[in-house]
Amino acid sequence: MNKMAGSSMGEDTIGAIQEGIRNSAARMLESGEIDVFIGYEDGTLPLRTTPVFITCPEDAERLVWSPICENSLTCYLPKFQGTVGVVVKGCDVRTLVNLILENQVSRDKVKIVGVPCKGIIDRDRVGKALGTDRIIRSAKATRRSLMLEGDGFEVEMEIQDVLAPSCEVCRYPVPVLFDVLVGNESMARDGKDPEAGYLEVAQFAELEPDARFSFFAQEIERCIQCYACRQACPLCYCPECFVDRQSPKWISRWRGLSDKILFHLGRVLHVAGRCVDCGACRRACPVGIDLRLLTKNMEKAAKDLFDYESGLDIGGVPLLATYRREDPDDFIL
Amino acid sequence: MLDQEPKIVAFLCNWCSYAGADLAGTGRIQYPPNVRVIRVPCSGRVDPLMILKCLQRGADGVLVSGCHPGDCHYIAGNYLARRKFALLDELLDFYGIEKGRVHFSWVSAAEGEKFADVVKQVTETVKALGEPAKLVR
Repeated sequence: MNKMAGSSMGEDTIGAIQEGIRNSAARMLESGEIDVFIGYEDGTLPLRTTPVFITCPEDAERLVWSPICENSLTCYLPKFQGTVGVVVKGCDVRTLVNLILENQVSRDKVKIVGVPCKGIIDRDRVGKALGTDRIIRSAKATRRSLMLEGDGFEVEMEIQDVLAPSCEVCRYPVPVLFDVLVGNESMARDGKDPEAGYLEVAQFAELEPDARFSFFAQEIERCIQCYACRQACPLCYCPECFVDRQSPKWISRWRGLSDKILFHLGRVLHVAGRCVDCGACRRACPVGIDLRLLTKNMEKAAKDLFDYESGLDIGGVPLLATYRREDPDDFIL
Repeated sequence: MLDQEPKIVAFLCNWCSYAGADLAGTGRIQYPPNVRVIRVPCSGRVDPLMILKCLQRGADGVLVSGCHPGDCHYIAGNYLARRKFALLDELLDFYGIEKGRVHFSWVSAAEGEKFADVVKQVTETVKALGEPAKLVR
């Protein structure tokens, strides 16, 4: 019975956030502050939301909010000329801070609508918990639980049990930067200790180098080089990605494992010191490669070596665009 | 242990390490002939991807050498490079690629002796690692 009470209260919180997003969008569009508002609307499939670009206040009714809103909407921002309003979660705003630091987005051209985040669900985990042979016809998410309906079944899951791995160890569920915060900070999850996030990485580093290599080789062998991870990443905005370059041709799509490894190492190096562990790459991967392990390790290295955490300080400088005289140099001959 | 002589690609910065290598030559200092030198304007020019590409395409080891901290012709190129290389080093280690395939050093234009020593040390380490198998195409 407590659960019922909890879930109805939870619905209210989600409803309140959704209402807040709609109101902010309508208000900003009406006043002419922004040219377009980027948010989420219901997708064509259950358990999916899709990015939506709203240009007139009446359409603000289409906007939704739930723990299914997984995409990082900040990845659209470098492409816009006008002023944009955007819905961001705790992780999304850190990518936006990076985009601003890297001069890809100008701070005064973006109106940030922050959402205190409870974490989002991982569809792979939902699938595993449900059994892959069952087709979901409709899904409804509240703050605490997820109701799934299909042919001949009705299942309720705790959001907590199907949370995305990156959300489980999220440090900053409340946006660090915003113009409007919808709801209040108490609606978010509690931020986790950094050590919690690095536990998996630290445990993996205990293995023998050969074991580590074979684990990655096994994972990456499955890569089909669709580059969905790059496409989903809010921090990948190069007009021509190194994997698409023909001269020099860094990566080929038909040479097998070694080129796949090179791609993954290159990708990780390109987001080193910038990645905020939003988990978009992992969710985008069609073959389920554990892409977070490598990027998380770089995040840890940036913290250990340079005491740097990405995407927190809008007045800062990107990690690799600056230096300190006393940076570690014990690896240099 | 590698049977053949290892091939080592050395990225040397134009202003210090390349001149250091030159000095080793004019000074007739003996060092192993295993390095293939690529002259770059600055150690900061070296993209970590270049290093990986060398390993993929058959180099047994890679050496990147630049000016000592504070001596960079472009003021800070080597400091910026140092951060990139620290992360690359960490990444390769985590990935399980042998430590010792990729080396970094600071060699000034006056350090012909040091350049020879670095090459000796790198050649020995790479030789001891044996056949590279992990990144090779």
